[in-house]
Amino acid sequence: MMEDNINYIVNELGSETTVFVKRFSVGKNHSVPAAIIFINNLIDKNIVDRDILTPLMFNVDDERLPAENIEGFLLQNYITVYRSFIETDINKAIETVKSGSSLILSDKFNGFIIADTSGGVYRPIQEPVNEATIAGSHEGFVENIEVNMSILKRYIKDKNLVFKELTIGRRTQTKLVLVYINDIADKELIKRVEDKIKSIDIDDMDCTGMLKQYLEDKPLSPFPQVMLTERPDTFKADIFGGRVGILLNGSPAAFVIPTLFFDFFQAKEDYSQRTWIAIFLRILRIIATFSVITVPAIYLSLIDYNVELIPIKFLRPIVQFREGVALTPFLEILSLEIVTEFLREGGFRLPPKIASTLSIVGGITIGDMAIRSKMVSPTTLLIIGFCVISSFLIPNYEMAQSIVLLKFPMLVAANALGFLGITGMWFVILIHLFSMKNFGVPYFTIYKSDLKDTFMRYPLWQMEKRPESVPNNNKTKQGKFYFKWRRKNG
Amino acid sequence: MFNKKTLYLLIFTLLMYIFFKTNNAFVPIENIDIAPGAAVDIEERSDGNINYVLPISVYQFRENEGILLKIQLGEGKTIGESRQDRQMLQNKKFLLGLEQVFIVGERIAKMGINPWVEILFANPNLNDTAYMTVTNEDVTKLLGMDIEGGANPSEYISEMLKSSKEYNFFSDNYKVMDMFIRVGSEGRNLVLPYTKIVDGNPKITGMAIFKGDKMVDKISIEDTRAMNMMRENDVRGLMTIYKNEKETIDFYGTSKRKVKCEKVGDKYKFYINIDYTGDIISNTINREIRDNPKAIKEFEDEMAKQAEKECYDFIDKMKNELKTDCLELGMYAVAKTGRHTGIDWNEVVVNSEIEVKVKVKVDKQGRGLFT
Amino acid sequence: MDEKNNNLLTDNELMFFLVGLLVGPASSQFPNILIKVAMQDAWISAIIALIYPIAIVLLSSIIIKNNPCENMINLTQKHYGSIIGNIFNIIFLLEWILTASISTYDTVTILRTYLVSFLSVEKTLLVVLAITAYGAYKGLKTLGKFNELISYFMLLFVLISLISLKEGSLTNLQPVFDSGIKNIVKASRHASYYYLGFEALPLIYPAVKNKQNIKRCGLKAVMISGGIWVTNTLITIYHLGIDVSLKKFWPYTAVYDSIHFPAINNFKYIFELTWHLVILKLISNYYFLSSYSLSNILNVNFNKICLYLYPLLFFISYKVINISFINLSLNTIFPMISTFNIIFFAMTAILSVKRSKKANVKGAS
Repeated sequence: MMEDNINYIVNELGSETTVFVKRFSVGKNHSVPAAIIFINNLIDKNIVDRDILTPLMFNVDDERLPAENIEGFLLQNYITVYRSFIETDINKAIETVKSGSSLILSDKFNGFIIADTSGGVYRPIQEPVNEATIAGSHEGFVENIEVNMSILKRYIKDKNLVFKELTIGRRTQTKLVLVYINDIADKELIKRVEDKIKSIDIDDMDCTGMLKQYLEDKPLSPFPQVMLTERPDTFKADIFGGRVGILLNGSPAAFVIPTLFFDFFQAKEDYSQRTWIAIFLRILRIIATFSVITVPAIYLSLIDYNVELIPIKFLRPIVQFREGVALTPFLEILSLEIVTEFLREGGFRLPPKIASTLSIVGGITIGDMAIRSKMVSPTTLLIIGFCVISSFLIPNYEMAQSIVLLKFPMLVAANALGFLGITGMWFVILIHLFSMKNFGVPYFTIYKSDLKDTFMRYPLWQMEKRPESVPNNNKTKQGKFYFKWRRKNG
Repeated sequence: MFNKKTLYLLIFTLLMYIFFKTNNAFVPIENIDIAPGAAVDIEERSDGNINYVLPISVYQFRENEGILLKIQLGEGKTIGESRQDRQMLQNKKFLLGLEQVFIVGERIAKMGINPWVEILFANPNLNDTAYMTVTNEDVTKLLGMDIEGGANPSEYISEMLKSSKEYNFFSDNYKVMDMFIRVGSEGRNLVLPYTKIVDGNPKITGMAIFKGDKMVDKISIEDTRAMNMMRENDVRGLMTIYKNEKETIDFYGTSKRKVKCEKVGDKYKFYINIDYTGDIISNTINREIRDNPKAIKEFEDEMAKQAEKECYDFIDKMKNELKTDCLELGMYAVAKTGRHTGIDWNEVVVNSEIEVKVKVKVDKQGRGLFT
Repeated sequence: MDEKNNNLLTDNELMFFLVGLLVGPASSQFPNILIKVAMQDAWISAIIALIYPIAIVLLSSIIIKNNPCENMINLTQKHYGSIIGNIFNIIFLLEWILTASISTYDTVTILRTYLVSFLSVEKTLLVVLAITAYGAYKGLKTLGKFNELISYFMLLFVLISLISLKEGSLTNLQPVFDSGIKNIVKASRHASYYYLGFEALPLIYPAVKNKQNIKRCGLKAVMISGGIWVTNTLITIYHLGIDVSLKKFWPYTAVYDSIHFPAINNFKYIFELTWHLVILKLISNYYFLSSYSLSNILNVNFNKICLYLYPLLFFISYKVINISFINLSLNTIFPMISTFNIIFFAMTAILSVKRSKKANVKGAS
């Protein structure tokens, strides 16, 4: 009977190499034969030895064992693991073993004793490298979802914080948790997200980077619609805006739904910096974004078609340098753009020690020699360099990549149609942005009340309402307390 | 589905791109002749007709030698034909739009500049802020002259015209777009600086007065100052009280004028009020001006009287010799009477009474009196 | 989350959509039309001509009040029967298609003069219509949001044009009332084409969020667009004077000539660049209205109509429209259309008031 069960469980767990079965007897007089089953690498051996096997084998007094409900008696009196319970459904019991619990079974039991013995080695909580801030928390999410949930629970003490557990991936059965504040988040939105996640039928779900692509409404749009973050504080702030957060086991990057266009241009520091500095930075970002897409195209149109618009003092050096350059302006800009993209992508993949060589070879040697060998003109190099630097101002790397990608069609349009191409492309881009929806929420809409936190960043005490762009059930974010203070002091 | 859609889209985009690039007669910047200056004049032909002469100065970019200049001359019965003629000796496409200065020969100015203005007005690329000047020199020579220090003559003349607003009551209204407005509007007249080569250097020596599109006469620099003072608003200039070589006062200030027009019966009467505020920059006559309000008042009255005298002298000249409304008083008469009535405003202004009133005000006197 | 509400126009979007139906490529030639007749008093004509859009907005608001959920096309079919109603509807539709194609023609001409002289008419037309069709295809809400954003830029540019005040002269505007009241009123009739567009109000109102605000939005839109037209005329006359203004094809662009920025040779081109977004937006709006009316009349899917309209508009703008046709429409067709509109709207308003009263009596008994 017990052996049958053991065989069944081992079979269901799949692999005999990692499943560990130890047969032992409970009590000093070995009256109850039992077995413990766990998956070798998922558990903490110390817990099994110290808190389960030792008390059961050496401490149990056989004579005091009741005739009925032995498992309940043992659980209550001997097993010192705090998270332990009795499971009667064998399939559910097997599920728990998969996530690191130990299962104790015996012929004399009416169910299975499950004890949480999960352990193993995980990456400790570190500062996320890609999203470092100056002021603010230095904690980052890790691969273990339990740890991530504990971080969030520590940040948010509100009773309305909900963790809703789901699994995704037919074979990997990865744990996925929806996080939201029950009385802020919109119910319809939660339902939509949940339905969509449940409908994903897939073998294997690696990471949130993949998951978000299954969730996006317009996967072919150039713009990212979900923003990944490794920062619990960013995540938390977004959840407070009425969004639904998603944590996936095994992935340190979490994300929130819906992410709207302007979210990609807001950095965490914006809120910890002084108002004027934050506003200044936001304006810089707008200029940078516009420049990345448009400046090469404008430069191309100017030197190709509308020469009369360049002031003569700029024009003289431009022509002087272009004298003798073999490539046409379009090819010149395009080739230089592609070379800089090579450099960027190369630098991104290389280990930091080799990357410095790349920057020397790429930046200095190629840049200098391209000019000297008359492949490109210095003005073009300046324009392209300016654009590359501008693209670094966009705080989100994914959005930066999308924006950089957009400049190529813009360049082609400018080459074919001159300024009409630029205007036309902007028309198309804007219409596309305006028509996009993310989980039923307009992706790019300018609400008057949200202007406080889109192009500008008003003083924090003036942001009384949650952003209107994300649907929510609770509009007020903070009281109008500041005015009381001002009157008293003034 | 994705693959097919993308593939079609890519092919479609490529085809569109090729479609739009074919027959696209664009010329990149390095294949364009950029002209910082252009000039226009006419020449009598042997058969009695006239030929337009349109030289342009063109940048010649050389890799290691810097920027050289080249004069390219086109001639023809019409201005368009002169372009046709000129292209035959150019190695690049000609583009108007970056010129800094237009030099108008006196002969074409006297004949009427309208045929030439027409081709400028129609050109959407034209640089409307280019300066204009009239000269009696050979325009080709002026455009290609060697200026000491190696400056580009076109740019030099343009900057010279731009800086003329210091000290001589010149305004900034000698640009192409001002020319359009002044030639084209009722009750207005064009004046343009008159340039000559003096000691190997271009120099503004006076003003060319236009009536409609025809140049009437040129006036000396002294008359020009008086005219500018009455004609332009908010300009800077210098005036001198001269007793003898040892006793002079130089006054440098800003003049603001207001014109009032009154119609009495058939006659018009114009009042020109000039506020001339500025600094005494040199004073060897009256030490008391320094701290005596009365003396200042005296000086102000004297200055005003002198300015008025200069103005009236010019008005006399205008009425008797030029017979043109160079003060643009017609504009005010038009605003009073109504437009498109067929009245010749030049005649009206010349025959009407003009009263000038100058008010001088001393603002500062520098850092001290020496003598 | 109210997704249905998310698809409806907000007050601002409605207002700027209406403004976007008026202010477009014509703005740069508008002053000349009035100056020809009213001389320096053209700006007064521009103000007087505002009576027409105000009347249309008021009549529309009566229609809307009595029929809160049907659009003009269906309403006409209901009131006049399907045959006569559809004839009215087709005349109504004509306005959108004509305006769309004339604006396209104008745009292509301006573009080819200033920006893309290297492109042929066909190519420019192809691009302009493709871009605007894309905008129309995406629907009213998208257009509304787009209109709102671009209108802010437009207002900014109108403000920038005020910089040129330093260059002009007040004498250009004097003497006031010189041309006579008769001419001023006559000129305002010539403006009818430029003030056409508010007739779209009863067509699109089912897609508006706050129906009780429609009248106010409409009047605000009249104020804004009227303000732009009047500033436009006033500035042009002030800056250029009527003589030079008449010499130019697009006098308003010349106003920007006098604005200098050190980094660019000619500010006019920045204006052109941004103004073309405004222009393309206007064509897109009319494209949308044409296909929306057509799909309502024929009961065909909107998206399909949108695609079919592309070759049609291309053909009209390329082959039918030319200078003499434009003159004909400015002097005859559009004044007729505006007269028709006033009568048509007044009739519909009266009918709808009667009907709703009847319905009320019935409902009460």
